[in-house]
Amino acid sequence: MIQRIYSTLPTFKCLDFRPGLNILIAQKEQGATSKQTRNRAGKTSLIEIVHFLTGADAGKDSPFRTEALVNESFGMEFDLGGERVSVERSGSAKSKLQVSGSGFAGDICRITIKEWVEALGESVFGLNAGQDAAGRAPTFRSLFAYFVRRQISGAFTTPEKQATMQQVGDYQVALMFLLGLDWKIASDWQQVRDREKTLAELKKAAGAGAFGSVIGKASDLRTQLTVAEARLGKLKSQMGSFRVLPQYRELETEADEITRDLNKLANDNTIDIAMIRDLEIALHVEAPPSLADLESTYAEAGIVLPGTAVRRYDEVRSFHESVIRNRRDYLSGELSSAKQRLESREQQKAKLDQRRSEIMVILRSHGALEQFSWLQGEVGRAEADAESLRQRFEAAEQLEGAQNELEIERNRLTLRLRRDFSEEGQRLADAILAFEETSGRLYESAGSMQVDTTPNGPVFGIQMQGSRSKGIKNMQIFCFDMMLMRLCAKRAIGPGFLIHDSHLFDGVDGRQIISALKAGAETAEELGFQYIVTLNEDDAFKETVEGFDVREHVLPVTLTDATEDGGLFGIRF
Amino acid sequence: MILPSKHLSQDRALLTVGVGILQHLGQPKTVSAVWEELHRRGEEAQHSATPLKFDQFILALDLLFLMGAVQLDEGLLRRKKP
Repeated sequence: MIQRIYSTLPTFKCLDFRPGLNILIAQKEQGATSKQTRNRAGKTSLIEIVHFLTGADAGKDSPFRTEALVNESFGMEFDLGGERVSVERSGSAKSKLQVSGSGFAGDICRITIKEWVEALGESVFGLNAGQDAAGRAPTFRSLFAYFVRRQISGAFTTPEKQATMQQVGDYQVALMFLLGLDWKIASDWQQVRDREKTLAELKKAAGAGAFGSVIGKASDLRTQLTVAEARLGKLKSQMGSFRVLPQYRELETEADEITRDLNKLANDNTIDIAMIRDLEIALHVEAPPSLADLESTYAEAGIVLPGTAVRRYDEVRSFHESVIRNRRDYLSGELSSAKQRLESREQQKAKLDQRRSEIMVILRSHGALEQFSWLQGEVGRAEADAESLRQRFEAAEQLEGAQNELEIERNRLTLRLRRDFSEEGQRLADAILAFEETSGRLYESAGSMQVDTTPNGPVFGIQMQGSRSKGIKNMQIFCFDMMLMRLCAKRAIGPGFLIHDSHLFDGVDGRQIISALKAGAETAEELGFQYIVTLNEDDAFKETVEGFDVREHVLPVTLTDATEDGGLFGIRF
Repeated sequence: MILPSKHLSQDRALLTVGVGILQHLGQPKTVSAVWEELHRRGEEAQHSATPLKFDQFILALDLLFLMGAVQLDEGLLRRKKP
């Protein structure tokens, strides 16, 4: 419980608390409405002081950083782990605070906020500071905010959240912890949600713009990869069977020359063959004249060419014969030499042809060195291509597969949660009954709590009949907090106090308020915790209820916004 | 045969052929070479449907020989110096 809240600020109204219900009354001037400055009476400031002293961040907007308060320190004396402890902190040195108490080495020690929060977490909720950091673990700050709800963070909108901005994972973990259930399930759920978020962003990026060209669609990439791998395999086998021939180029040139030579020989042959044909025709067709023709010509010459020195006939005949023989010899000679040329060319051709086919065989089965290097380069390139495609394909597959994986993970978690709920049915029942118990004490029932397993983790809902007025919503928060107190008392954890800001009672029916205060007082007494409430005066004394007197629990200090020094700080700033 | 007549055109007369042969014999040539040239020239000219026949060519050579216009030395025909 909290003993005392004090400050070095001289005008500060020091508050002393008693066990059980404590009501801090604030008088509101007529007509003071929305035009109020931030600190009128200071009801909400009390809540802020408690948070400030339990390690809340003190940002630039914090009242403790304002000029009026920055050099003042605030303090709280309270029970922590069975020890009386004082903690003091000021806005000027916001990262350190002073703690004194038997639980801390020395009489007074300065520790950092982080250390303080760890110490609080350990002794208030039994949190292990060195908890594995995988996923979300319950933290002191997130749990403590349920016991001292802050209007500033919008803690009075719905029972299961202590801040409007609180993430699903965060309150699931916190409440599972407070209800004594397996909070690791909720923590794993948050991990799934985080991964889904990342995945969604990645997918958006991959679908269009930056990553589109880098990753692409798995189906397209599979095709590309198959093609690339096939090409690589082909190149590799080519390289495996590649035989380098150093004289490859020389052989190639030789083969070219042989081809040229063969063509030339074939051309020469064609010429010779035509010639042979001509010669043969000449030999066959050109019949020499018969001797009778010669005789008649000889006789005629004597007649037509008188006076010419005519040779004797047998001289003429022998000339005639030798001329004929001479031509015949010449033609035959030509013919046989042409045939010989053909013959030798054929032989040459056969030799060349054989050589050429030998070379061709070698050229077909071997390759030049530069070809081999080129092939090596190609293999390297193809390998790099295939590798990059493989990686992109894997990335795309992972991207597409992760979705299914997460679906499966969610289903697994749902099952885990169901199992946990059935195994820990007693605890759930305790919680539901605790809620019911408080709800039943109210003037109008606030409904009943339900804890469900959904594909999105545990859901804490309130089922209720009748009106859904803001007042009823607030009473649900009241019942919920009382339930938490009950469960914590049973497990001997928790801060041992519950503070309700007057905002909780805004717009709540007067009879509802009084029955809530009565229920709170009784519960606090029964379980031995401290219940601190700030109330507007007109809310407090509007109604009465039998067997409960509000005045018994009102603190001697009363706040008012009517005067400059009537508020908690005693000054306006 | 030797001179052109009613049945023999002028360029087929042995004497005319003989003159053609002599024109080709600026250099000593083989019988075949002379025959080829005459033959080719006759084909090129194509002025008659009947090209020069080999036996006429031989007879023309015989005529030139008996007139003492050509002689045959070691297979080569040459014009005889007058």
